[in-house]
Amino acid sequence: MEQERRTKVEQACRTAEEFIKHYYEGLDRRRNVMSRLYLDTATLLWNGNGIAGKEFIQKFFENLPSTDHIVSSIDSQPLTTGSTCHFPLTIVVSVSGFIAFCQEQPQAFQQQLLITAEGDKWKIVSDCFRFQEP
Amino acid sequence: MRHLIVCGEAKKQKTNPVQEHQPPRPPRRAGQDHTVLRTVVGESSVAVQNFEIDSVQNPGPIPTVPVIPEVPMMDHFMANDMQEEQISNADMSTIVDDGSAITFNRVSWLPSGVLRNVATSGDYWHKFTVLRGAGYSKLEIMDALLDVVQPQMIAPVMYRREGSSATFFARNCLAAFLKLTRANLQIQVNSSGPFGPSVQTLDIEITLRHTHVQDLRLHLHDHLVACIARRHDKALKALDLSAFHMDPELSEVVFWSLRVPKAFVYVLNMLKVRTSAIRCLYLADNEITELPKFIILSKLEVVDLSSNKISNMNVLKNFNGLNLLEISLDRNPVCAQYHDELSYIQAIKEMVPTIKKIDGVYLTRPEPSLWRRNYVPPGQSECIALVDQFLQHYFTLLDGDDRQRLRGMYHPDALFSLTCNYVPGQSTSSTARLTRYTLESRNLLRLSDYSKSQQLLSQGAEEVLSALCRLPRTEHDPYSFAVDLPYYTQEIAVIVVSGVFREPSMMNENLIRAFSRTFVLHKVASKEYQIVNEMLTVSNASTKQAEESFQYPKPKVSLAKLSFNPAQDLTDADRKQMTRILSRLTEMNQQWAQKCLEQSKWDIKWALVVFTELLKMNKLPGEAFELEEDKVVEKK
Repeated sequence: MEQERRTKVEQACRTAEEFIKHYYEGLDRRRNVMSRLYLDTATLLWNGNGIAGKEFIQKFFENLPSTDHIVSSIDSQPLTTGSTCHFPLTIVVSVSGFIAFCQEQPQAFQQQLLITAEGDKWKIVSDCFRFQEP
Repeated sequence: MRHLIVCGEAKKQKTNPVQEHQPPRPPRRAGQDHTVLRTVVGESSVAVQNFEIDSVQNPGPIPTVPVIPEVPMMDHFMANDMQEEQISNADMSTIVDDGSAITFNRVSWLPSGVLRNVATSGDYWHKFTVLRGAGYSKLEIMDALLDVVQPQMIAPVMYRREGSSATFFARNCLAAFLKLTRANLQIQVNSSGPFGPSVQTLDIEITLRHTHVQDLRLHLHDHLVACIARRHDKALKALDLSAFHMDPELSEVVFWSLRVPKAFVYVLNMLKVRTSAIRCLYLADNEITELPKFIILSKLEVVDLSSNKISNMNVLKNFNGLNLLEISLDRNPVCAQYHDELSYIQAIKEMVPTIKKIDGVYLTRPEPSLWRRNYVPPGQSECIALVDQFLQHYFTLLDGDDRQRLRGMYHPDALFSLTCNYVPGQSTSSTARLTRYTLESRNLLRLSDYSKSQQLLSQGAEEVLSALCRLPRTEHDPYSFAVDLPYYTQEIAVIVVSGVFREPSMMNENLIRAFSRTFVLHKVASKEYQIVNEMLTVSNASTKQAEESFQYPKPKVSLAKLSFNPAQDLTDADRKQMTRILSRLTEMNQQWAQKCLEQSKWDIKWALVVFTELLKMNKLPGEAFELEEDKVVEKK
């Protein structure tokens, strides 16, 4: 039981780090395939604006000016709720860092991702992004 | 007195010779070959035929370009002998000697068939004389000429003034020529004179087959190549074709305006050999109305089309297939069609979806760009109340002096971790130490191994509460909160709160921190949630955030809706009892005890909390404790 928990925690750490790396690389360099990282029913919150569904999320990203992200910190925890949870293997990840649009001044941001294993791939269930200050 | 052989609409008039001067006769060489020189090799375009390299021995660089569909007139590029043809309806005796040069103006007349044959002689330059044209600038005359001839191709060379006229030469310009004749060989010159802008009609006289190419070798293609090479900045991968027709060196030879579509296409095709070296293309001040397809410039990313005559956004379709990032379209007539910036930008984005910078300004924010304070998934409005309640409860207890009271809110297997960051450029310096947070900070990027990550994660409600109690006291500013609900179902809710809080400190300094707190809640009963995961990020607040925080005093006593035990129906007797109890506990008189209970919605536990707070803040006046037992106010 204890060991199981430890393993879950460790897995959460590993998965989070790798996934985040892919995520920001995609945002900065390969925007056109971002939707692959999301579940079909995923939601994205961007500074309080909600976008639901993979296709709309992809469109949103395509309209976003080009970005450069610097990640300062990543933290993650496994979701340990019981059997009522729809997604047995889910991780919540919290990221903070800086984002710069098209060589403008970088801004601090915080982002939370809920990612789950669909088959053998990790996909985003929900994505919440906010600038540190409006 | 020469009779003039005529063309066009003017009827034959024997009485009106208008010729003002005699055309010079081109010298004839013995044994001159009048066949058309064809220098086109293999797949080279028909367009190259327009500008022949002057001799077969020096073919010069022949660009291989795709065949451009030509005006049918090019098929008349014949090797026929034209000179000796008898021209029936005119007074042939008046034509100069060997008949190679034929001059006419709008009042003369020539059967069109003959005209075509003559005009298509590719190995001759035709001379154009703009009567009274010397008084205008070259640009004014050329503009007027192109206005009539548009969109047909003409490349005037050797522009000069002769007496009161302006003259130039051109060849292989049958279509332009015909257009000119249909306009009665007249051009309308726009000029700004001493009395303001005016339009003048000038007549043109044309001498066909004036000079043989061998006598006037211009190497136009070479000049264009050289001009482009001069204007190509290899380091910046930029080609500057702005005001191309006014290029000082080129314009001495030829007036090559990019507003003429074929001229533009020709230049574009010349770039085929250097397409990978062109990232930026500057085309300002060319009076362009149409664009060719730019697909061959596969690396093109920046285009400047400002100060032109584009009147329709559709021309931007010619950038299809390219990854165009920047475009300038200002000072074009098309801009006036859009009354606001947004529709202008959208129209451009529709044509060029990849665009990121328009008229020098980056498109910085996407459409849903407004920062919104809170987000709740649509159709889930019942959760608003629950979330509100949860947050109020949580933060009140968090700001309180005993965080153990939060115990009831946590699931037994809850997890908690925090991360803290220093953000450069923030308000205070010495007070900016986040030491107490750094000790507990869990950042996967900074951990050398995962064992530490286990330690820094509080596992189980007990550990979580100890961790929370270790952290400094806080006072949150609820008016700074932005709340997002990215995920909400019947079983699970994910809430993200960001905002600021301050740490009340002895030294009376304002330590203001920015935070972001993520809760994963699990529903345990119909209206109860427990925290299963919690992640906190802390950093120093920015100067702006600090300044704007804590503007409004937090409502102290309106936090009554927190009870998880819905208010029962209390009888008067119950209430009296509660008042007495409270009064005894707090040593307040009954009147004040009652007040307190009323404001706490008769939740005695809560009333006690409120009382303690008020007491600490010295907000309770002395009279609250005066003994006035006989003054219990009857209230319903």
